[in-house]
Amino acid sequence: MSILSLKDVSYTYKSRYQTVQAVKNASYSFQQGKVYAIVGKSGSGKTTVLSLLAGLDLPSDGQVVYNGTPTGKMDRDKYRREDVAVIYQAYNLFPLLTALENVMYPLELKGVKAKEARAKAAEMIESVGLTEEVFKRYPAMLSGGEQQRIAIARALAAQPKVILADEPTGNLDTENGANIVNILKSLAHEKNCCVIIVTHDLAIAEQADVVLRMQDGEMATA
Amino acid sequence: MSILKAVPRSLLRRGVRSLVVLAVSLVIALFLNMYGNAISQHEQTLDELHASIEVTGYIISLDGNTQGLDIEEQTIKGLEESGFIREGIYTRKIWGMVGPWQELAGTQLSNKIYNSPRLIGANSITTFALPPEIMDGYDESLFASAEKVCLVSEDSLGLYGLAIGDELQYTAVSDWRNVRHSSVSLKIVGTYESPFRPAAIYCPLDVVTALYRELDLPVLTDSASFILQNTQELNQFRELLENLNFINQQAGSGSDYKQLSFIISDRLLKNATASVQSYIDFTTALYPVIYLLCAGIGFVVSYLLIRIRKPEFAIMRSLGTSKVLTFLIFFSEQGVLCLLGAALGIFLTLATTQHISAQQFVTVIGYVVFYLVGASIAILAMNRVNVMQILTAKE
Repeated sequence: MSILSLKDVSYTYKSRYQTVQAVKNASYSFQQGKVYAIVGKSGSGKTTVLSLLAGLDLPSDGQVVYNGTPTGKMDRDKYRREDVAVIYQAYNLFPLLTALENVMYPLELKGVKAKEARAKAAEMIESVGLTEEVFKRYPAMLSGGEQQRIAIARALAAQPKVILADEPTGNLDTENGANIVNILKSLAHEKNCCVIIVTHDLAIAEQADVVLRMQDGEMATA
Repeated sequence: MSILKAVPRSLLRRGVRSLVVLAVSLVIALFLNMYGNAISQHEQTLDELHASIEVTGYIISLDGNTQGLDIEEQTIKGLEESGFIREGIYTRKIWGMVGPWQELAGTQLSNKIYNSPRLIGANSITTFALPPEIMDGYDESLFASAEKVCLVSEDSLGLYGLAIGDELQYTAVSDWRNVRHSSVSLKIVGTYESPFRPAAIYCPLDVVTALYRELDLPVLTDSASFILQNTQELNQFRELLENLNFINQQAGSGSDYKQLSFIISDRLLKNATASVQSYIDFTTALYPVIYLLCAGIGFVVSYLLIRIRKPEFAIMRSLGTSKVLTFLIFFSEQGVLCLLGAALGIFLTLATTQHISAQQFVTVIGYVVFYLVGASIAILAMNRVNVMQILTAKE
């Protein structure tokens, strides 16, 4: 069953010198329990689609619909707190929070009490293959692979149904990259999440259940 | 997410960057206080000069006379109630004759009065050019009383066969045509030297005022001079003088020689206060510029410090932190640091100078407000950034 869908979505923005149509009439329905890969060249509109799916922006035309409700008609802050999580190539952890505090953040935002949030965060960190040793370390004290695992743990903490990942292995070596992809796959196949990965790495795309190709703002099944 | 938890954590871990806000606010608060102190000290000096330098004034007619002015009672009352008069020195004269009333009329009466001494009421001994000789038991303060005593010239004593301590009867006369008269008995308590014949008889002002009332005459004052107070606001006093129909001689606005002018002798005060006043004027005029400069620094510092935290802001937004909560967290951080710095500045000022005026306090609070306005604008501007663009920037 479709959990998230794009319905004739177009997105246009004005740069200094021209009007750019980043996404053109994109339509697609994403389902739970599957891994999707969106591939395409740089500037093809992949990240824009991700931004629209995350509710960080609204389409110029068409609708992004989550569980039957268009993102334009919902509390998008709540949507990002509870239903969707984004993982980035640059990890984007809070530099002044420890690994444990980073994972606790979305839980505290949801109003979970500190003690419970701490226990849940610890569980999440351990679930991505890290040990208690990293709990009190700041992001700068962690390797790239460890930072990305913490970012995934943070994404999982609020138990979202949709996980969006923007080039999640872009800054990692092959081994760490493969581990991250395996974690994402297990989230889809074992935890029934809808995982959408934006990548230009065809090796990752090959591991996805569905590959979507973006070219000049248009989306098509590969 | 508790602001009470998030804000202190961020402030403590931000280290040097937190100290920047604190230090800037501290330095600016100290500077504003020192600047305000310098102005206050000069204002105090100015007040002391105004208190110690006597400014006098007197009423003069347009033809240059300081006596025979016939100043109306209402004018004197207006001056005394103005709040600018510390002391008024007045004389009030009345015509009449020495001795009991004599049934005379027409030219005989006018000649009699013309050749008789006038009775002059005064409220200060400073009326005399040379100090009079006063009998034991009396002193200079007799003029401030309503006692029926008088001073006569040495010549008059001989002329009327009187001696010090005798009673002198004086009969005051209203006018030539509708004659009314009233007598008063005055004890001679002293003499003075006078080149005039007949020389006037001097008594306390209130004695003459009482005769005016008994004869149903308008109480007119012959001469008036003053010691002024509230000399910081002499311009206000000058405006009041215009309302009391005094003529500005310098402006040459008078045409009737009977019109009166009020001369203020404040040259000494002006010379003494000129440099202090110009310092105060200059620093006060510069104050808004200094203040805006400090506020501008606060504004820029807060704006720049917040702008460099765009990535943090973007992460918060992408995780679903509302714009309101994001604003409150950033704003509270800046507010706490700025207030802490300003409070430290006020504390250090108090510790060193033992004093801080309400104006200085308000100025520092004003700076804090400007700083927070800068912070607010920076935070609101961040709300317009493309979160995804920041978060997907490739390393």
